[in-house]
Amino acid sequence: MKRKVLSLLLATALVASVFSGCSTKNNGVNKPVDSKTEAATATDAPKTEEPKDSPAAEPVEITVWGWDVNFNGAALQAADELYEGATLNFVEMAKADALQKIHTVLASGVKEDLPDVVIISDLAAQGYLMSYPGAFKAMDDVINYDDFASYKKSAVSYDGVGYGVPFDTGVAGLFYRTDYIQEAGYTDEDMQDLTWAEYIELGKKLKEKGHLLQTYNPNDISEFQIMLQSAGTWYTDDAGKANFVNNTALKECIDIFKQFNSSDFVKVASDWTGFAGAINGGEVACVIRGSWIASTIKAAADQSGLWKVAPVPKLSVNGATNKSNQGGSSWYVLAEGKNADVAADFFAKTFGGSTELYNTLVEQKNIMATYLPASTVAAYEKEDPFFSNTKINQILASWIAEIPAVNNGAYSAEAQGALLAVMPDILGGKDIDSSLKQAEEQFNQTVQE
Amino acid sequence: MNKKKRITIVAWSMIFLAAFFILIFSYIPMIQAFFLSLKTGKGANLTFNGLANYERMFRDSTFWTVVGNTLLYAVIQIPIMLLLSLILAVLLNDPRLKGRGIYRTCIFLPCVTSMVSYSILFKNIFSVDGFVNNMLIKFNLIDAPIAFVLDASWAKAVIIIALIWRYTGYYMIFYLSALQNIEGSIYEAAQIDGCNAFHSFTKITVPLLKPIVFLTSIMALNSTLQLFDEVVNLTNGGPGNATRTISEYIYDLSFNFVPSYGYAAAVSYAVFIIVGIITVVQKGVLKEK
Repeated sequence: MKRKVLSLLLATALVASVFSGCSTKNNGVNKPVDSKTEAATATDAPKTEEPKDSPAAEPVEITVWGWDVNFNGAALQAADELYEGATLNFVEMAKADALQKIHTVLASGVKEDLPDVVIISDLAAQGYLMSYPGAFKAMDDVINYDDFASYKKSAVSYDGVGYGVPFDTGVAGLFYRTDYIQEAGYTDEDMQDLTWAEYIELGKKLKEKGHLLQTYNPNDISEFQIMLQSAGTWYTDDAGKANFVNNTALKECIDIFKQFNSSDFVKVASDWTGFAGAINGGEVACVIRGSWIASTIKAAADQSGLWKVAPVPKLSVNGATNKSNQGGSSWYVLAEGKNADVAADFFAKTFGGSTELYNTLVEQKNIMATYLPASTVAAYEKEDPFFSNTKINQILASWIAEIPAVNNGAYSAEAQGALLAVMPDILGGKDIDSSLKQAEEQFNQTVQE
Repeated sequence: MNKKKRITIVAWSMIFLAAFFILIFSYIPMIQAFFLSLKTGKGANLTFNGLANYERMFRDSTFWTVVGNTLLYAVIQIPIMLLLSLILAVLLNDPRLKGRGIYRTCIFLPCVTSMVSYSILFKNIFSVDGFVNNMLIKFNLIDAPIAFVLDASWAKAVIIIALIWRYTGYYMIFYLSALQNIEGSIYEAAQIDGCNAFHSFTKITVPLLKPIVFLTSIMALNSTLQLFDEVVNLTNGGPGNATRTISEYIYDLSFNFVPSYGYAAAVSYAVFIIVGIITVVQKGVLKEK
């Protein structure tokens, strides 16, 4: 009897496991498929009608692999509406999945069922261009790279040839709570063009009033990207070699992190949930991130009218500025794709030449791009009540042209990995120079052929 | 005779299909991976370079760190877990225990949860504002919250606790089924001879379970050496490389970094070799007694 009960329970557990297995799969796998079919039906609809109106146009379908249907997918959709002669099929995947899938499909050398276009984040782009020669279509003859922000142009080029179509910007800003900084005795003017030393001083004053400056995660050095680029330097030099030991900007980044680490005015957050929770929960007064953070900040509707944006703090090294960038990605046409030429033409006429498109993107989706002729489109004039009725998009867009161009090279992930590996030692008080030397050795091991 | 022959043919044809697919999808890729491990280069630019990748491994400090981490998990987690599951199995095998089916199910349940979801659960429980910190502060055991997943030692401990929580019930099932194959009369005879509970456990149960102990330890070792989901979701290998495992390093080398497929394949073969060596050693040790 008892054995029967046990077996019954085990069977139920087993069945439950099958279902729980299914449900996790649903979360991970089916969703993209759903949105894919959604995108497909959305793009299919005009396709079935179009031939009747214009029988000359061949219904070509351009397949795009990417992440975030509400951002990247929406941008393509808007471009699709402006372009005749092709319909777009946006296949959505999680970001990590998309980037991994591009690797596997290109490494395997399969030529069938390739997508026509992929989106790649700028920091990873050089790695793809280097790893798969001939896989991506050169776009120098198709689009005019001088129309785009110079930092973006260098991110999508390899060996002097431009491959990517520059897309969104991650122009960085110091987003701050006006009410908190006023309590600490600061005005909006005080917040403009701070130095990092002044910014940390602000943290101490905020602490006195019971507020915290910003979040801090010792295991995430993505803020280094903002600091380094604002000073026109990077983890690696132009030859792709590690630039750790003699990099004064990097040392200053580490020093700032050490100050955060030993301070009482930052909120320790170990992951995105903690990070976003601290912002939306009103625990921190400031957040320094790429412009894409605006949508996260706006998630707390009760804080409407309390936020503003200022340029990021400046390092004290030579060549430092208050302008920087974090993140952003670009479109790449696969040379072996079925519709490479149509896809190239599509980008030339939309993302590479239509200010109207960019106006729609800013107006409807708050998507800011790096196409310079579009930096004065009408939609930028719109005031955002959440950000204290400032023209936030216009403010951010006005900084894009001033962002120092740096050569990210192909090995940013490796460099961050090597630095993160020594960060616990450094924060524990170990000598910075010897730690950086150690990180440089590890970096060299990772990047060797 | 004729009938026997036919049965053999039927049996082989059934096995053939499975064997054929295993060959195509398992063994051939393994051989291909070995040849890949002899190539160096980034992405698709691969050239044969002999044993260069294996030499590189010896000089790669990250490789040794991740091997050390993985073996540390194995050395701490597997004995604790197997001992716990053995004790639980013996307790729950007692026919006098009421409702043992329910207990068994409860203890088995963690291992039917998805690896990702339970990792995220543990991450929340051990986060700075999480349940554990709140409890410790409430009972005045600590003053300030401990950043568990941001501290090298604590992060390792959290991962080991998570692994034990999830897999103890799984291995308990193996011991339970083995215990039910031990004749009750052996224990009765021992009892008549004046053997107490502890002695019947150490002198009867454990020796008779030896093959299962061997099986479970090999299985546990295999799964720990391939540990990936838990670490990626709980700590993402951090702080620094403090909790990174071999599998996560292989993933990094293939997809996170500019891909070095050849070197990643070589590291995979290193895991294969480590498992092989440990299995042989373990078998030898267990046979000796």
